[in-house]
Amino acid sequence: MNPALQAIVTIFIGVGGCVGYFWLSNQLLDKVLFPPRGPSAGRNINRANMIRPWLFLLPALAALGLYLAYPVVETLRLSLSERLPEGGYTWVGLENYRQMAAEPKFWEAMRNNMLWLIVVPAASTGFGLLAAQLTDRIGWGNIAKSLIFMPMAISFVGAAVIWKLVYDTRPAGQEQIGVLNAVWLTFDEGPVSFIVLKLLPALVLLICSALLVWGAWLLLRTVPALHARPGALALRGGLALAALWLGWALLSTIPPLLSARLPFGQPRTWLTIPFWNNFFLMAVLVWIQTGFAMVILSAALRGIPEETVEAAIVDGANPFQIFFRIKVPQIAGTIVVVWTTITIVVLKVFDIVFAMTNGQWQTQVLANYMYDKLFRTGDWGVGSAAAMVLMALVTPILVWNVWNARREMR
Amino acid sequence: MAGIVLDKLKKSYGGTEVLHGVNAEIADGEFVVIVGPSGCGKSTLLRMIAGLESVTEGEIRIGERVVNGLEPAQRDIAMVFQNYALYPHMSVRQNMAYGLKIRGLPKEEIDRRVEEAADILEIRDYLERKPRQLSGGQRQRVAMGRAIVRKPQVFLFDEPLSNLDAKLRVQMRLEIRRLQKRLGVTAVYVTHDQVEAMTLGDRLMVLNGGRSEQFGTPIELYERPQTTFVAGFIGSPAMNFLPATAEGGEVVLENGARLPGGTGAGRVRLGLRPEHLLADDGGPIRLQAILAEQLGASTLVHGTLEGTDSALVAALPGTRAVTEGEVLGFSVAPAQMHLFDGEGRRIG
Amino acid sequence: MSAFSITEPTRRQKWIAGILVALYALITVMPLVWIVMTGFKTGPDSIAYPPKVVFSPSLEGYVNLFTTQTRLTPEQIETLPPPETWYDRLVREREKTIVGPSRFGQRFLNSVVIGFGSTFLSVFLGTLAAYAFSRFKVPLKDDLLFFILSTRMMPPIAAAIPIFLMFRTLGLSDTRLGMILLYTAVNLSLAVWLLKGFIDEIPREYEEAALIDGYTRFQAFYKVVLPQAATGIASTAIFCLIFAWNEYAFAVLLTSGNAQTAPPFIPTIIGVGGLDWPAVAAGATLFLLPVMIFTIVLRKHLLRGITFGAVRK
Repeated sequence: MNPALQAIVTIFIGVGGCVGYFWLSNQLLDKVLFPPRGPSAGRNINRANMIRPWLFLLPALAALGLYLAYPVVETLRLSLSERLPEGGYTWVGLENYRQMAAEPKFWEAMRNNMLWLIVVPAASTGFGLLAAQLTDRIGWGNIAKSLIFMPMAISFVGAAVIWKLVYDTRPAGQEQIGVLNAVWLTFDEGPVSFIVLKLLPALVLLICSALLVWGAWLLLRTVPALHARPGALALRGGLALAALWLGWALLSTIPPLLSARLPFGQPRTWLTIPFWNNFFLMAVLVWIQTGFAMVILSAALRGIPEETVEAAIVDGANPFQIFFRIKVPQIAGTIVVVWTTITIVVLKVFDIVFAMTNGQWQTQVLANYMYDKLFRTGDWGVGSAAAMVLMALVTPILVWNVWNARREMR
Repeated sequence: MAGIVLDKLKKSYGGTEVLHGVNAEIADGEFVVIVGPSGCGKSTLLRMIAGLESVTEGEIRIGERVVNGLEPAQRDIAMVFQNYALYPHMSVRQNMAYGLKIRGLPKEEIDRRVEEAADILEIRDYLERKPRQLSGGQRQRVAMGRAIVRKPQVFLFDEPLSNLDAKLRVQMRLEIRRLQKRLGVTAVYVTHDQVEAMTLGDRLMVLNGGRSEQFGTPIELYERPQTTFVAGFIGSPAMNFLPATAEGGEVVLENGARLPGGTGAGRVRLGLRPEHLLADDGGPIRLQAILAEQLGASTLVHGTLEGTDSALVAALPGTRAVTEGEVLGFSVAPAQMHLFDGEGRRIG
Repeated sequence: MSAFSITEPTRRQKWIAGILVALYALITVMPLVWIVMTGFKTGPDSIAYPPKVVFSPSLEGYVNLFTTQTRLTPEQIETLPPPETWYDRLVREREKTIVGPSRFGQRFLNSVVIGFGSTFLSVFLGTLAAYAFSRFKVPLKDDLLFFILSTRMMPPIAAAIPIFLMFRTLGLSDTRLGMILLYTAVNLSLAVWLLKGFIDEIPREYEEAALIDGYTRFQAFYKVVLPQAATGIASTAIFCLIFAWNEYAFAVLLTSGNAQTAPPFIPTIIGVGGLDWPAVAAGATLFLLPVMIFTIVLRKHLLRGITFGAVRK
């Protein structure tokens, strides 16, 4: 049969089945099981009304249970057992987890996942906030917003294809088709290259680390007032220390950056440069998510009462103070929503890594590691253990999100 | 402390002029209310004084300084906004201290001033709360506290009471007045509510269509309104306007009734305040009643001038039942008749 | 208050903001423009250095995308009749001939069937469930709702292994039916959650009036609620469609020959000496275009979906 025709027939069967289920089950309930007639009519109506919701709910709950809830339980079981060569499974306890923890590739995936978790939400939210603030100040802001939002429309794998082209490399001497290499090859030892490739990045690093130190100072400044709550104190101290450490780490990359001898004139295979290639992959997701962050944050910024800004002007605040002390705190809730939404996306990330590097050259992430174990090595136990780790990482954000949604509902 | 001078102040948005040259001299320590219907430019005028709107033409002086080019923070003013504009993420204390902090005042000085203001406004108990935990009246006090800790030369109020319920509004009105007298700071207050304007202001500026119609004390505005607009805007219930003809020291109404008094000759509009109509069975002003509103202390009789379609309202003391169609007679003292020419300007 | 107040940016600030935004927008759009352009390049042009910005457009990429070709020797070409159509001629210039359609058409059709099938199912089931949650007294309602919400936040890939095993046992591997059912389940949580929001916004009084007028619950549902929820249902459907259309992880895992959708197929179009970039770019362009149009037109509705209704405007 022609595939198109087959599809149409399938659709008819599907639609018919759905409507049929619904109509028949309601008829059964009203006419056969509990007809609203006879001596027990009142009781029958009550019974029918108690069962009716489940007619509406059952198909959806069954599908969700079968395809999402059951697999989670099953994954847990698989992660604690080993497949036998002759079929069947045997209980092995935490053996799979032990085996996984002994693999450097797993720890590489964990490290990369953590990097993704920090960098992508931070960069997307930061750029999004900046873009939102800037596009609100110009006449053609709405057009710019549509342009920046456009990558959001693109599937991850589509984005991966696009960026693979951007990062593409041909051997030296041949002509380059990747945009990045084409740009790279225009640099030489001259002063322009020095400014663009060394001075500017160094400045950006310097600013970032200054911001981090400033943030740490802000966190620590109010500590004496918090003596009553040890939990808040510890959290603040931890955050401040992390910020200081990150600031120092950024600062310490500046001297080697300035003194580095860059291999000008040679095309680079960007995706094989260890460690940094992670950032090339993250750029893809940041590229996609910035538009989302921008649109939502822009709406939030517009929702800030203009009067509070004017009051700040009368109070004598400068534009930076207005932005960071008046505007940003007022949209803090929205920033958190954006941040957690992107975090959930990051934990799902698989397509980009799979399609661009497949975890080679130290770009492994958990989802791809799991896929590798499952289909390359055929090791279902360890694969399931990896899946469980992934779920464990999502759980805190999930719980927090659900808790928030619940609180909002009340 | 300082007075304010507005000199031929104009404001245009694009090509449209919304303020057509406003002049005023506000004395040091004076409480001036700018009043007018919505869209008359009163908020714009206040925001120009604050520095939130640029000046298209003319000059604003605060004290001896021309402030046209100065940032709001350099003008030594404080402003209370319509929706209070409290920073929602800061506690009451932080809200009040923010402007002082930006100026780099020492912490002890900030604390001292915030607590002093909190005592004056009786908000000491809520200093650590966030604005959303406060009632409307409390927020209003915090907004005022934020203004007074700055110790500015000028207070600017932009319809600060419009979000409060009627009872609270009366109470806060009194408090604002008392506070301003106590601190002796020049204040400019914008409102569309003429009762608020009358009770608060040392002087009132009635603004209409971007022009100052009259600038004077409340009693001046009530007793000698210079235009029909001011006459209609000030006073409640609003003044009656009747078409009439002035001739030889008498005013002739549409239905031929003659009232002694008035100057000038020709077509005029006669303005009569409802409370100035004195019940007088044989009086020349004949009101054909439609209905009466009993307010307890007084009764408002709505109707028309007998034999015409011109609406006429009279305020009678006490309670008074009226049947529809009943004709009541009134007289009026010559000094309480207001005559306006065809352009709406006062005659005499 | 007004558009001309001092809180508005000055001309200089506008210039700086404008330049920064323009730069950022350019960086954002550049890869997109690049892929669309590459789709219209010839093979040699696509790998030219410096990259050609001005080039004579060619449909070679699209021809390669839709056809399978063989290389011919000059002698073989002599024996063939002259090319009849424009695409025959195009291929002949590269010393090749078309031997049949490529698999892209079928992959594209798979994407359409699976996308629409799963969208229909998830919206249908989702509407029923959402209506029940919105209108009936359901025991443990909140807990069920949040269970549904949390399934959406789970990375679906983490549930892949049991699904893979289940599909193998049930014979659903590499079938369109299997993919439709799977995508339905993945989309259901979002569909229920979004539709409940939309149905909550319809006042109950309408149905109560209908019930008083003698409608049954069932009639009230499809004669009163459904028409009013139409916009919400439509935007939920589009959201589900976009998800199913873009889904990659399960498609790679569970399909190979028969039911494979376009996403796993496009990145693997091989030409001479590696990827056939013009064909890949052409495929990506065709694949992305419908979703891009939908997304930009329906930006505001989609945001509600991405944030589970946390952002409503």
